[in-house]
Amino acid sequence: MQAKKLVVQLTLVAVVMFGFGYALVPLYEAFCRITGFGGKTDVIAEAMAAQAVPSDRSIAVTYTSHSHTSLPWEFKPVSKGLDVKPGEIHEAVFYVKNYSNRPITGMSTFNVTPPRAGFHFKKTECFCFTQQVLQPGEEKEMLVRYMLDPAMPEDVLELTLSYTFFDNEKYAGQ
Amino acid sequence: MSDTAVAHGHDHAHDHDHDHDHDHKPTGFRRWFMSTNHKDIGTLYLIFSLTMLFLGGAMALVIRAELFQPGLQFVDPHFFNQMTTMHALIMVFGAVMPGFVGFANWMVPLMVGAPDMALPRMNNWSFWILPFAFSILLLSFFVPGGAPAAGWTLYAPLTVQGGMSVDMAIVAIHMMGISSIMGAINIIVTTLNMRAPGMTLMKMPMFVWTWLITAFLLIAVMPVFAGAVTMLLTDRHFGTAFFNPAGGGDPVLFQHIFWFFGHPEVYIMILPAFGIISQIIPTFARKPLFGYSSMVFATAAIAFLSFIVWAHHMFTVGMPLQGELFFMYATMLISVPTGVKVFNWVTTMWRGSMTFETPMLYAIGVVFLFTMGGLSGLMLAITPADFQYHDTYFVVAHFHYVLFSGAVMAMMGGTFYWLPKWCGHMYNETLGKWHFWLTTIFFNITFFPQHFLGLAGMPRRYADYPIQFTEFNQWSTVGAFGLGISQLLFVYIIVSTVRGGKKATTEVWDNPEGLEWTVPSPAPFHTFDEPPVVK
Ligand code: HEM
Ligand SMILES: [Cu+2]
Repeated sequence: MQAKKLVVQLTLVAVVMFGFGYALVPLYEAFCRITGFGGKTDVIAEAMAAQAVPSDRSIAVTYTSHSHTSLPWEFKPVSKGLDVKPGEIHEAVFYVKNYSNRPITGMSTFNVTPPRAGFHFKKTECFCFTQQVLQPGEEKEMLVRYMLDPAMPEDVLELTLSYTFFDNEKYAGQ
Repeated sequence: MSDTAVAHGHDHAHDHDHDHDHDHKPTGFRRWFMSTNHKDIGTLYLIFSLTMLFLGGAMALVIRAELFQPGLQFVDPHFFNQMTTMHALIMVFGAVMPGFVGFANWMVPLMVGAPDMALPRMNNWSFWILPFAFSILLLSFFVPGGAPAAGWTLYAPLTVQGGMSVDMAIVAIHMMGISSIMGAINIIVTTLNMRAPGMTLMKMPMFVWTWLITAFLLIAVMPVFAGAVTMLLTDRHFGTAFFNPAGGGDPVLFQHIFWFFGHPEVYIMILPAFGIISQIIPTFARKPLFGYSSMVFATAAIAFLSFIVWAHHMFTVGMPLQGELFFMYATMLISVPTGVKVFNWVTTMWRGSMTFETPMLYAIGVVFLFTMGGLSGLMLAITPADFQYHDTYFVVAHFHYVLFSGAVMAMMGGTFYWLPKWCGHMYNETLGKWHFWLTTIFFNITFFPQHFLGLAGMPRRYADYPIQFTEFNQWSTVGAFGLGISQLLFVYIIVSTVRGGKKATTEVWDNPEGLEWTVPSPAPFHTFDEPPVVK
């Protein structure tokens, strides 16, 4: 019957659109990664970064960090930042300490502003790639190795690299 | 499938009702709870919608009472936030959407010459899910922490944290969504398969067209919303991290998914209103609708564009410049087909022999006031301006001009227009006009000052405000109470018209167009058992 076929088709559309809602998650992620929208940073291999030709302009990079209120950690950059020449590989060091009396798993989110600079911020290594477990009272220094892509837009004269540590207990081991 | 609809009506033949000679209909519980008759289900939807209008209205009055003066007078801020959240959820999903589905149930079969909806059993389900969904939503007032208070937009990460009321709202939203999708499927199948012989698509009444397009929007976006709240639910309880930044999720992603649903949703709430207006104006201007086919294409264009403008609700989240520009221009583009519609309505009236019965007053009121809402929308669409207006009372004024004086007043006009057909009596014209003027005047007293409040920087969703905003807020509160009380007159008119009054003729109005005016008033329980032929 014609009507039955139509009902089945329309129901199918509804089911597909439910799936589409979920498909938006990877699509959004891929969109931000490819375009660099939203200040997502890029990851490249160390060997590739080493081949870049340093340019002679310099960009003022500032580091900022927060520890979410739910997380009893101290978290700060060891230096406030520096002037960076695109094409050079740099290291930023962050200090973190667990003030509680229990081991806690944390994980950091990251972001670059202005967002259009994010795509040209190439990391080769970062503490934010994995979960960090701190024992009671433990403190440590953590590394980010990065390079600013020489293709960084000319009008970007300064940028901010920002991290926020969240309590990641709920997701520990994932 | 269409024969099942007819055959089904006769199942009930053993329950005779002798009020109407050749009209077999069941009574009592069987009639209302097990109904598969499109007119009865339409009536149920309309009563449900009106009930929700009063419930949501009462919550709005709590909000306005609190905002009559600066400082905290009646409720604490947390309860205030519950009021703004629940007011919107109830109005959007309880009053406006079911109201239009009620109109569709009553009118679509009558307008296309079908004996009933294509899927009468499913129709019964679509309706009876709703009272349960809203009971769950309303029960959330009584759980620890009270009802949801994060705003109707349910933004993560706040809703990742809320109490169990958020879970209840999610369950309720799933039920409403299923109800809407079933209703939409029913309307599409009815209009595509059950039109009377000779009624081609391009001869369908405008109301049917707008509903057909709305139904497609519903099927496309309600499931996306269902997906979004499901992700919210699993983030809350099952260890996923779609929106929770602690697990690497992105809260802004929720906003994108929500508004991908949310903007088409606002057109779901306005397109059927456009349809009602397009039926009323030709009748009282005594001219056919100007530019019928451009109306159809404008409606389709609006529906299409509504999918690519969602981020105009998110200009301030930190999108890149290209994104801001794209969504600004796309949004402004929507005013083109919208303008076509307004132009066509005005041109239909131009040099018509107009009379101003209550439905026509409503139609003109809607055209005028909706256009004001469209203009404030255009202001909001200007990205740099929106940085100033976003989340202020200017936005509140905007969406009440399009939703109250657009959607709700169109339904009021539609009620006066078709009530004589539904119940067989004429309403009292003097009272109808009173209702129109009271509603329109109080509506403007309530919402016009909110434009100024927003421009001056008063943010929305706060229980308190600095004293310089006092005077406009007092206007607004006085207007709101007037607007609320005026609706008692609406109920009085409907109840007294259903009970008695001058007998309505078959045509009701002066030579109106459409198949619904060829069946007696009140429309018998079964109509078009033999399909009419459209030339
Ligand atoms: C000319 C057409 C329209 C334009 C250009 C437009 C534009 C906008 C923009 C830019 C916003 C976001 C403002 C902000 O949050 O800063 C907005 C909000 C809103 N609009 Fe419209 N709009 C239009 C028509 C409509 C219609 C027809 C409806 C519903 C029937 C509607 C309902 C809403 C609602 C409910 C909101 C607020 C949502 C919320 O934040 O809770 N708009 N509109
Ligand atoms: Cu919108």
